[in-house]
Amino acid sequence: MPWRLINFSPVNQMLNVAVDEVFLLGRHEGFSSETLRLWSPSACIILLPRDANLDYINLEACKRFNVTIVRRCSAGDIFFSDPNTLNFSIVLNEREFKIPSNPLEAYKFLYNGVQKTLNKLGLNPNIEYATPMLINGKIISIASQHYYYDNMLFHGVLFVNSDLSLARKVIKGDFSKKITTLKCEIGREILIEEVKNILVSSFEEVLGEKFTVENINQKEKEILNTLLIRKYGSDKWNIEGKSPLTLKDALIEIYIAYPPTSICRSLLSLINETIADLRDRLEVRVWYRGKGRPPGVEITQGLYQASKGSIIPAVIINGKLKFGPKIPSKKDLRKAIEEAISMFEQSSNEE
Amino acid sequence: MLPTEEEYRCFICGKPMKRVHKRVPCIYCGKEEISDFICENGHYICQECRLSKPRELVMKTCLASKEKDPIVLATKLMLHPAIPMHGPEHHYLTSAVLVTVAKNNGIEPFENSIRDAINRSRRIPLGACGLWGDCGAAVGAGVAISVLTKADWLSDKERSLAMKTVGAILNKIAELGGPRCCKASVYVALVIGASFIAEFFNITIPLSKVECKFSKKNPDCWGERCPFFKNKGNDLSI
Repeated sequence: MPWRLINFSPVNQMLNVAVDEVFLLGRHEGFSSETLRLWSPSACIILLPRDANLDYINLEACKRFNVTIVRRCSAGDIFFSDPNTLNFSIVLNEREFKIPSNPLEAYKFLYNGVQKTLNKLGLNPNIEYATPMLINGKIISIASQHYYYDNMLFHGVLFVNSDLSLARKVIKGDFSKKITTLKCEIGREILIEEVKNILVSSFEEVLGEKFTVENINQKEKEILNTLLIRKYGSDKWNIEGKSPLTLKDALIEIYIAYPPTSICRSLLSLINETIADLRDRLEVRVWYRGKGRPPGVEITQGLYQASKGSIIPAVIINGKLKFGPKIPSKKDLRKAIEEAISMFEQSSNEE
Repeated sequence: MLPTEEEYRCFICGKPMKRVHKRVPCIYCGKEEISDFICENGHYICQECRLSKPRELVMKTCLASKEKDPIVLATKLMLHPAIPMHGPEHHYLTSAVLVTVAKNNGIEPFENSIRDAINRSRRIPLGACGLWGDCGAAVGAGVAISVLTKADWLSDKERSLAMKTVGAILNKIAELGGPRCCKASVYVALVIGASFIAEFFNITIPLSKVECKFSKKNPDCWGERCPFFKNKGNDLSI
């Protein structure tokens, strides 16, 4: 698939962080291609998943200076961003676009795009895994990577002419004091558009590809809307850092032997048959015993229970172990799935 | 759509598995049945073994096994998807494998010895190494010695032998450092445990060179620090 360049900075900060995950899901499902996205939001702090501790953030200052707090899907360091900070996001499929398979090497490979950009501006930063990029001991850029099956999101921030005094007001401790900007380091005014152009050409050199400027597609817009409603716009995500089980109406997990036995194959057929008319509303994951967990996919309590207890085959609905090792009747299976969907509908109505 | 057919790979040798329908024995329990998937090297795992709980698998395999080499038997068991990367399954696996190979190398243990070895060592809990200072694989080897020599708390040299074996294994595992690697602990317990058994009963137990096949699956792998990493073998002096 050809590489595309997307300049997309929605006003809603939650949408901004959701877009990266849309591209990742889209790459997995096949409705997005390899992407470089560049964006500059209004002032915000971008938190990590599962990090409910906000002690290092001055919430009052955030409110006073209109700095939004949002949460992204990748781990690492928190990001500070504003209209003069350049955010970059790369999404690719590792099977289709070859990069080093070792995550550490892949990180360095992609971060080369930013390193080259700084080289072209006369600066010489080093890249170290999971460490901010430094110039003279000060942070000029922060990046992070996240995998979903065999797709990778590499994203980060480059402090071009960022408002450092605002960063220091809203982020407590030494972290914000260590940040520097391109403007400070090269000693002249530099426009974000100039840096964008250099960054694009640097990534083209690193990736060996030419970008085509495109817009976010229709399917991506639909998923973005769903992600906003079910994840990025929810308190569960923004406050507690907890991701929803699925973006669909229910999650069905099937735990089977590797290779599947005749009983496992019967269960797969039964499920296929039972959910034929509900397929669009359900996310179905098939887990093979002993084959591990794909990156970016969480283990539910029910799957853990089936795995630890060697309950195989098993059907787990919305994270709860419902059937196994005996295969359920079609009627019981259908009833359990319908109940899960109606519970979801109920909770959506309550919200 | 749910998967209906895809390329499966043999978890013993990694070769692609093909749909073949013929009567073949299971490489674990030995039971013959009409196969569904067989790999290019002829490995077939029966439907029952594919669905087995870990303890059932170890029991059935050891009861049916004619294998004389503990490394070969343990590796085959640990490659089965029922056996996780780490966990208490390795405790009874060690004792069952040692009793099985002792039997297959000429020792005549009492009836139900494999079953008894598993039942005794299944009581050793998860994390005993760090929480009790007593690795379950080492104790599993001690259980095997006790079962083979019919030792109990009133025994003399048999009781001492069981404890000396556990002590020697624990020393080596402790020297290797952490974090825990149940595969490395099993291999250490088998290499040292087999040498104690061979000496006491005056028999020979063949020992293959360990070629660890689990390092990629283990996020805590010691790498070059491990005596079994990348075909370094059984050189426990490292």
